[in-house]
Amino acid sequence: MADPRGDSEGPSAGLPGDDASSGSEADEVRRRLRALYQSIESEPLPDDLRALAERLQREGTSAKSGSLPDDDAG
Amino acid sequence: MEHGSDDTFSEQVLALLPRLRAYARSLSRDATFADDLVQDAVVRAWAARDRFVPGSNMEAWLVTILRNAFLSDRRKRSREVEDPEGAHTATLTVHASQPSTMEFQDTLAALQRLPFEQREALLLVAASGFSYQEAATICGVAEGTIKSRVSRARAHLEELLAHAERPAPGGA
Repeated sequence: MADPRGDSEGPSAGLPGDDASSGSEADEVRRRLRALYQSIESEPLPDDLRALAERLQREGTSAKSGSLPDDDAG
Repeated sequence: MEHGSDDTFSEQVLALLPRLRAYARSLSRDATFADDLVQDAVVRAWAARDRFVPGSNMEAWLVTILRNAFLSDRRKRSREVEDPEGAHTATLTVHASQPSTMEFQDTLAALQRLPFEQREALLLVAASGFSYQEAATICGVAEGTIKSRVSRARAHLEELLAHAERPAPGGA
């Protein structure tokens, strides 16, 4: 999936302001975290979330004041 | 937000679901709990969609909602505890589909050993790609606080990962 921010590296790609470790160590931490994210992002959505996504799509398409189950935002 | 833009709103939320899952799963190693959090956040976001300002940062808005849900649940159930020895995280559920590479597991395990404030700051800046200012807004703290947390978290994580990769003395 394309990065919704339109920037695959993100604004903090260089961890601005880093001052504690060498660049290579910072790069390794960032690489590990981004690899973790990419692994999770590439997984198929579990059934519950897929069902929710489908409901969200229907609600959006109908463009009414419909509400998803368990609305409780305050 | 006008109802006429509900379609766009839902499309944006749908596009961000994988990112939200990645954040939630990294914040809490309990995969089932993390997915519940994402679901809860999306429902809350939909209910509050009139309050979203079109053109503003949807991901930051959703992450803030998810974070609030996480903290609310944490307060209620004391479910997410600091776990310096990793004993609690070892018992948590893992999705069958979860990648089982050593690096993936090592990184997740190391993250759970960071204090929550450091973990979320590092994830927001180094993984989600938010600026320090955006992360500070999401967490409701000063930018300098986020910088400090990220720096400490990164150093701590480097140390934890180095230990994870080093074979134990005597083998086994």
